[in-house]
Amino acid sequence: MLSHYLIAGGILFTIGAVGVMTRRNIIVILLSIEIMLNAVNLTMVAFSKFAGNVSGQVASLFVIAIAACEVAVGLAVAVLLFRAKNTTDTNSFNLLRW
Amino acid sequence: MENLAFYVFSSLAVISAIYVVASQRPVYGVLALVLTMFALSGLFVLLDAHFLAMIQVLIYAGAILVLFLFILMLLGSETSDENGGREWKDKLKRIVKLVLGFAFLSELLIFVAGSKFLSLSHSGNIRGTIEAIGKALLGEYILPFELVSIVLLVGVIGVVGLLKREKMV
Repeated sequence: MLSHYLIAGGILFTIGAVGVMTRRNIIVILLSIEIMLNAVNLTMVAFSKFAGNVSGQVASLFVIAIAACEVAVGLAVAVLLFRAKNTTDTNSFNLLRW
Repeated sequence: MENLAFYVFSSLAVISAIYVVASQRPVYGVLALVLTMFALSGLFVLLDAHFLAMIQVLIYAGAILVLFLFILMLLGSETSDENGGREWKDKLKRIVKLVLGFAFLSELLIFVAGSKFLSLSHSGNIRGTIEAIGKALLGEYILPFELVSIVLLVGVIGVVGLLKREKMV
């Protein structure tokens, strides 16, 4: 049964990673990062249950807190980028290229 | 019964996650991600992590995704312009990334299939109640707990500092 949860987490993580690689809208990239974080959460909670230890759930609480922080900062950066270029397409941002 | 619930919730999570990645309009993506979060919280209930399931609905579906929706409404309809998939070069790039994703997934699955920790089984009944989590959080993990609060404070200050700036570039 543990392997089922690990496979589900792996599939979700892969979906998120493919989303980060293929999409060019900065909001959708942030959403894909959320999917990846939640896949890791699922894996840790499954391990927590099958190892008989509550540590995995505490770790995934920390992940949720950091994810909230990351979303706030990421959306602030998205708003700033939108203000600068009036778009959220990542192809039009090359401020740090050279 | 538990198996059936697992398959329902996990397939719901995977399908709505695929919709998030594939949808052309970000608003629909956010709404599909709400569904993913609810399905994941159902999986957490199956794993006896009741407190975490509640937090998942409250924080993710209730706070983070509402923030996403708020920002999307703020930015307006300009956010849905993606000019992908027209040239053959773009299509080729997309296919290469999909192949990379499948390679990653198959590697993960091979790792899971060959790993030793699959022999772990229910040892005792761990219940993720508020009491158990709170005791672990304020006992063993008190230092990381305080550090997370500092990270949250820095995040708040950083967001205010970023957005207070008048002009960029």
